[in-house]
Formats: sequence, structure tokens, C-alpha cells
Amino acid sequence: MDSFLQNLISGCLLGCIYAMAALGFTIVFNASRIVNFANGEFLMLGGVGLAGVVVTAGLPLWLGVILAIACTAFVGVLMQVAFLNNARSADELSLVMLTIGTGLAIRGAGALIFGRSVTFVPDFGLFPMLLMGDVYIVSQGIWIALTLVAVGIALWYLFSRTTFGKAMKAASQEPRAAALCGIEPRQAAAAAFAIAAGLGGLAGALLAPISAAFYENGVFLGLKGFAAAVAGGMGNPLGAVVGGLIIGVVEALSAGYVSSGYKDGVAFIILLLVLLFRPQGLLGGVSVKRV
Amino acid sequence: MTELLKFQGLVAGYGQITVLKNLNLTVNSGEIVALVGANGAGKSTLLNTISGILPVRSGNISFDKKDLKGMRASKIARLGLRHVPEGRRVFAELSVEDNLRLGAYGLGRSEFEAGLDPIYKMFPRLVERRNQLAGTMSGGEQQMLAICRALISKPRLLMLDEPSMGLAPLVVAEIFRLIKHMRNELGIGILLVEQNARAALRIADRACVMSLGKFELEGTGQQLLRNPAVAEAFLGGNRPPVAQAV
Amino acid sequence: MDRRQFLGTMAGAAALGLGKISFAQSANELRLGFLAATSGPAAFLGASERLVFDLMVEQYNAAGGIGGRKVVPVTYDTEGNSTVAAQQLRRLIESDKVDVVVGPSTTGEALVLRTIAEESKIPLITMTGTESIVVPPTPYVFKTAPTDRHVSLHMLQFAKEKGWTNIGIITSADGFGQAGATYLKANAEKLGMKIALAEEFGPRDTDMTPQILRLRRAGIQALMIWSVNPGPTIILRNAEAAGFKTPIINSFGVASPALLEQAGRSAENTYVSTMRLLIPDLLPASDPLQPVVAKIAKEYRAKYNQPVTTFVGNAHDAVKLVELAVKKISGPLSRDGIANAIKSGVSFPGCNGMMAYSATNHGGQDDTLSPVVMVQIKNGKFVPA
Ligand SMILES: Nc1ncnc2c1ncn2[C@@H]1O[C@H](COP(=O)(O)OP(=O)(O)OP(=O)(O)O)[C@@H](O)[C@H]1O
Ligand SMILES: [Mg+2]
Repeated sequence: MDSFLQNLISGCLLGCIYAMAALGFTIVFNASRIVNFANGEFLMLGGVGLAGVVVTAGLPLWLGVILAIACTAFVGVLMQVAFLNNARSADELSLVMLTIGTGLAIRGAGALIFGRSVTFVPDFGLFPMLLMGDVYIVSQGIWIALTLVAVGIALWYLFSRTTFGKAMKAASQEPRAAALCGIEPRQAAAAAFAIAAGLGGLAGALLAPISAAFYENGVFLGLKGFAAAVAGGMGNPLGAVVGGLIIGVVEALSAGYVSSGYKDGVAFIILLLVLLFRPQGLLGGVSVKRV
Repeated sequence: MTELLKFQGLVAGYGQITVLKNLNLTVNSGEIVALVGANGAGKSTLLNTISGILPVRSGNISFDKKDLKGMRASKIARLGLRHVPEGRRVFAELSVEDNLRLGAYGLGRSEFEAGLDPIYKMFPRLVERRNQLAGTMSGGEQQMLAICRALISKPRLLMLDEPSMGLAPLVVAEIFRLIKHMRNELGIGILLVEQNARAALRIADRACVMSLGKFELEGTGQQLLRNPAVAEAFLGGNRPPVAQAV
Repeated sequence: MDRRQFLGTMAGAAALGLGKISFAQSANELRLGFLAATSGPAAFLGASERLVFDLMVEQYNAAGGIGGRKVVPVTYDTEGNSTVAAQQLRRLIESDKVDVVVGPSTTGEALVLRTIAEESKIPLITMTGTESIVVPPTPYVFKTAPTDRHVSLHMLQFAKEKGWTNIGIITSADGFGQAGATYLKANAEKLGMKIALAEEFGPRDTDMTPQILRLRRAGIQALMIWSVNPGPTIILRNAEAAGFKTPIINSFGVASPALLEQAGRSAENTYVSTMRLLIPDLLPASDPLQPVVAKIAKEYRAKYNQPVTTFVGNAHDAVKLVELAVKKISGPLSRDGIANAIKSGVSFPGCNGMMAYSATNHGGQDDTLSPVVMVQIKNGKFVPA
């Protein structure tokens, strides 16, 4: 029983990271109807950026986290402004290809700037390890869980309480009508990329002390985040969180009770099942447009 | 009456095609200028060009003495020149009140709230439905919302693209009352594109007949109503308006 | 570069002048090729191997060469790319006219280069630890690094001596980890030990707590980890958090000071099976390899002012093998002559074991001494276990 609870906790923490990756997909999708396959690379950048600033350059951790988020957000905006805004053809498939290409470029740049080493960053600290009987949550796990809650509240507030958040939604639904209301659709899209990328940077930074920062991490984080976003219902932020948590928990339980060798397939089996029986995603109202 | 919108030698189009061929027009505050013409004449193209959605290829265009050429649509909207596009284009997944809030995007919160009151007074139905998703409202309600979304920003010039399209006669009448009200009480200049030519010409101070990207005829609303060529082409005796076929 | 090109041109001219292709250009020099990734992802291996190669060549020439033959090094950076490596090997053979090649250090490159070396009949002394490169032996290919078989056997024997016969293993789901798992299972059977539970994890996994909990339930006496970082570090941290008290033995995949830095406290009291060069100053005098290891470590640190890596031994032993083979040849050098000299028997204490090359042993290590030693982490330092 204890080990079941422990596996559950393990899965939830991993799920929190997947959820943040999935939220990145969701935010960009909501703002521009693009599935941004470079999203995983934002998490990678957050991790290696933090490692570079803290471990290599020796700056304080809090500054490193801020820098990692800011730089990643900047890369996100750059990607939107430089590539997607100026894309010759605006059909969905070529935009998706463009995001994949940009992802490769970000990975290459990450390796070039921060090196190819596997680097652990110190724990954020502050919280002690939480012990409840035999069940525990590591200190960094508390950071991860609290951050997801904070991020969730902040995003909920942004998109359902602020005019800017609503303008971002409007610009994606009706870009022309939004422009006629004085909203600049490109600004809204750039803001969405900044938020998604900054969030990715934060998630990557949170993960760096638990698993190491490494320039190839973006691939699997991107895939898991994508699976979570689609499973939860592309475009639905709550769905992204639920999807991320479900995939994390099922992975941990299958590693704990079935076989650790199969656990990576689990995310994609969930994804396939959801697409088969509930194509709009677990919490999705809008169906994903076929590309 | 001050001069608001003015363009001379306006040319615009899509890709290889030139749709608008050398158009000249002035719209003043407090007047309704109606634009009638057959399907595909270029009426919507003209409105899109004025509001900055389509680029101006050549010619001069200014609003309130400011050059609009090359200006982005969002910036033009903030100058007080609002365009209610063909097909309403409300933000379907946002609530009625959020649609209005975005109409006042860029204005302060207090200005938005001050603008909301008169609109809710004019359309009590919108108050009841303020939290309903805009996409779930009826066609007439959506058209009202689309107009109010532009109106809440206190524009000086409003361009309406076929506001009566697909609506029942009673609703159409309400919309035309609203248009007159905006001119008479609010002093707004209005550029009105309508398939329902008879109704449009009746309330218009001036009007143009557009055909193949050119203004064929110009005059006061009454003059054009009485023009036999216009009557033949658009008013069609006593047949119901063409647009209702949609 | 200019010098090399010049020499290459001279060599070409000489060959043409003689009207036939011959190998060595001068009885008085040994043309020694070196191929390894000194940049790119495999540079962590190749960089220090290259440094020790340069160091040894310099030492030979300062002492008048090997058996009176001046050593002419020709080195290339493969970037870890086997296509690039193949081109460079052909260049070493055809235009640089080297007598023997040291390298490469990754298995992927070695598999490609082996074919070319056999075709072109040039001795290739690889620095890889993959047994299949030299088993069964082919005429021109040799290796120096310890193999998975050596290390797995060493880990299991160590556990057996401690009385831990009920073992759990956790390995990464990649080529390295899977090979490790296979060897651990096969050797455990030979030693009469039991692998009670074999766990896997993805090389990019971030949390191995579920596996640790399963291993805890399995009631094992020792846990063996076989992977390169970051996996082992994550496992050590998860194990510490879960209060997993069973002894943990890591493979040589993590044998570097980086482990101490990354795993910190959670590595305390765990074991690592490693090449001796991880602890060059702490080897007991009774260790027959101690003098070799201590000497090269001292010279390396003195010249480069940086710590040695365990990979230094791979290049050291390869160059040493060339030295001893060349010394056996009295007449003119030839590629076949060097290969035959090695196969006729070259033995020496290397950094990676008691080396005993022969017609049947192209891998180097003999069976009397393990090429790896067990260290334990105590107070944040590696000490002999
Ligand atoms: N996006 C576009 N690309 C290419 N051509 C277009 C585009 N939009 C409109 N056109 C063409 O421009 C011409 C004018 O179209 P426009 O929509 O302005 O007509 P309209 O007068 O508004 O007609 P309606 O009364 O049917 O709304 C038509 O020939 C139309 O086919
Ligand atoms: Mg039209």
C-alpha cells in the first residue's frame, strides 16, 4: 500500500512536469491554432540554461531560474516573430513542419552554447523532504507541485479574468475581427509563445535538479507533453493538466507493477485509446482539426 | 459636419486581380453613405481596404486627416474607424460581455463600463445574455452584438457590411432604426453596404452604386431611389430583397 | 598540416619513383596514426586519449624514438561520426602512409573501421571495450579497454565475496545497459548467484522511484546499476529518498569524479567497479599495475595540469602495445610486420590490466588479474573497497 502511494506520488510529480509541457502546447494552440512541436525544446532550454548559469557560471539559483525563464520566453517570441509570422505559406502542415525544424535548430543551438554534458543542478531547497509514515515527497517535488498549482491559477486568471487573455483567445478564433477591435493578432500570438516558452523554461528548470539537464531532453519531454495535451483535449488547459497527471501516474504505476521496460509505451497507448474512443480528448469540447 | 474619411484614386485587389479601380469618396460625420451593388462588385473589398485588412495598392486615403496607407488594421480601429465585417464575426467562444469588452480593447476599464450602460439600455436582451457564449446566440442577436462591439469604442465612423443579411424583416427594421439612431443621436458617420438596397437608400444621405469595382452612379439616397436604372437593377419592383435568399 | 602534406607528397613521389607501392618510407621512422573524436558528443573519451597519445609520442622522440625509429604522428578528429572516421582511416592508409593506427574510441566507429582495416591490411588498435570487435580475432584488429564481460564478472565476484548472492539489477534501456544486463545475467548463472529482479529504465527517464520500490520489495542483498549518467545518479538519489539501505554497486559507466559532484550525499557508501586510473594515487603497492598507472597519471597531470580520466589508460595501453611490437622488429617496418609482432606475443602491465596479446587474444587482458578494481565512496571521495 505504501509503495502504491509512493508510486502515485512519483507519477503525480512527473505528471506535473508533463502538464506544464502540455500547457505550452495548449496555450500556443489556443492563440494560433499551431501545434508547436518545438515546445519540448523550451523545457530543455530551461534546464540547460539553468545549469549553465548556476553550475558553470556560478550565479545564484534564484537568478538562474529567472534568467532561464526569461531567455526561454525570449526564444519563444523570436521563434514566433522570425519564423511563424513571416512564413510564406500559412497552411497548417507547413507551419507544423516549421515548428519541427525550429525545434531541431533550438536543440543544436542548446548543444552549441551550453555543451553536451549531462548536468545536475542543486535542489531549490527551502522545503524539507515531506515524510508521512513510509511515504515521502522529496523537497524538489514540493516545488514542482506548488509551481503547477501557481501556474494553473495564474493561467486561469489570465485567460478568464484579464482582457489581454481574452484578446488572445479572440485573436485566435477570429484574427480579422480581433484586428478590427484594435487587437494586434501577431502581438497576441507572440505573447502566447512567450508564455508557453517561459512556462517550458520554468518546468525545465524545476526538473534539472531531479533529472539532469541535457540538450537532448526536449525530444521526450515534447512527446510526453504533446500526448498529454491531446489526451486531455487540445486547447483545453484543464485537460492539459489532467492529461499530464494521468500519463505521469499511469507510467509510474506501470513501472511499479507491470514492467519498467514498457512504461514509455504507456503514454502513447493512452494517447491512442483516447484518440480512438474520444477523439476530442478527455475534457475537450473542440475537436482537433485534421492537418 | 466634419470630413472624416476621404480617399482618391483608390486601387486594391487580391494577388493578380485588381478589384477596386480608382475609387473616390468622402464620408462626413453624422451622415449615412450607402453603398449598393451586385454580388462580387467589390463592396466588401472596399471596406476591407479602408479598415486595413487589405493593403492599398495606390491612391490616397485618410481618416480625420491621418494617412491610413500602410497602417495596420488594429491601429486604424483604434483611431475610431470601426468596421463591422460581413457575417458578424463575433467571438463565438467568448461571452457576450467579453465580446463587448474586447470591442473596447485598448480603452480603460472605466470607459468600458461607461460605454456598457447605454448599450445595455438600448438592448436589454444583451443584459439577460451577458454571460452566454456569443456563438450560441441567434443570428439577429449576433448582428446586434457585432454592431455594439464596434459601438462601445465610441467610433466616429462606422462601416457596416450587410448588417441585414439573413435576418427576419422585424429584426432588419430594428437594425435600420439603430443605424439612424447612431447618425442622429450620436453623430457617427456611417458607410453602409447593403443588399437590401431600397431600405438602405431610404435612410442614406448619399449613396453610390458600385459595379465591377467602380462607382457607377452617385447621388443622394432619394435621387438614386428614383433613378430608373437603379430601380431596374436593384430595387426589382416590389420583389423582396435579394439578400434574403441566403 | 603543411608538414604532413609535404611528407605526403614526398611519400607519393617516392612511391612513384620506385614504380610500386611500398609501405614505410624510411627505416628510421614509425608513422603512427591516431583517430578519435576530440570534438562532439564522444569527446569526453577522445579528448584525454588524444592528450596522452601526444604526451607519449613526445616522450619517445625525446628519448630518440622507439628502437631508434623516430615517431611521426598523424592525428585526426572523427567527431564521433563513423562516416568521417572511415574517410580519415582511408586517408591515413593511402596518403599519410601510416604503419599502424590507434583508435577509435566508440563502438559504432570501431565496427565500421574494422572492415576497412581488414581490407587494407593495416593494424588497428581500437580503444573500445566491445568484446565482439576482437572475438573472434581477425588478423589486424586489436583493442585495449576492459569489456562488459570483465566488469560484470568483477561486480558479481565482489558481491559474492561479500556474501551477497541474491542480486537485483537495474539497467538502462539502451545498447550499453542492455549489454550490461545480458552479461550480468549470464555471469551470475556461472557464479551460482541469483538475479532476483532485473529492472530497466529509459535513458532519459527522470524518476526511478517505482523501480526502487520494486527492488526493495524483492528482498535482494545488493543492487547493481549498469548505465551511464544521468540514470545512475537519479537512481542513487531516489534510493536515498526512499531509504533504500541495500548495498549498491555501479558499473564503470559512471567511473568519473562527476558522479561525486552530481550524486553528492546519495552516493555515499556505494561502490563503483572502475579502471584503476580513477584512483591512481590510492592503489596498494601490491597491485601489479600500480607503477604503470601512477606513472602515467603523474606525467599527464604534470604536463596538462588537469586530472586524469580513466580513458587515458585506453590510449596509453594502445601506444605501449605499438612500442613493444615495433621493438620486436629488427628489419624494415611493415604493417604486416607490426600485426605479426603483436600476434607472436606481446605482454606488459598496462593501465587496463595485465596485457597478453597473442594470436588468439586480441583483446589484451589476461585472465589472472581483473582489469577493474572496486572503489567505494566515503566522505565524498573514491577509496579502494
Ligand atoms: N480573398 C479573395 N481572394 C481573391 N479574390 C477575392 C477574394 N475576396 C473576394 N474576391 C473577389 O473580389 C471580387 C469582389 O468581391 P467582394 O467580396 O468585395 O464583393 P461584394 O461586392 O462584397 O459582394 P457580396 O455582395 O456578394 O458580398 C469578387 O470577384 C471576388 O471573387
Ligand atoms: Mg460582400
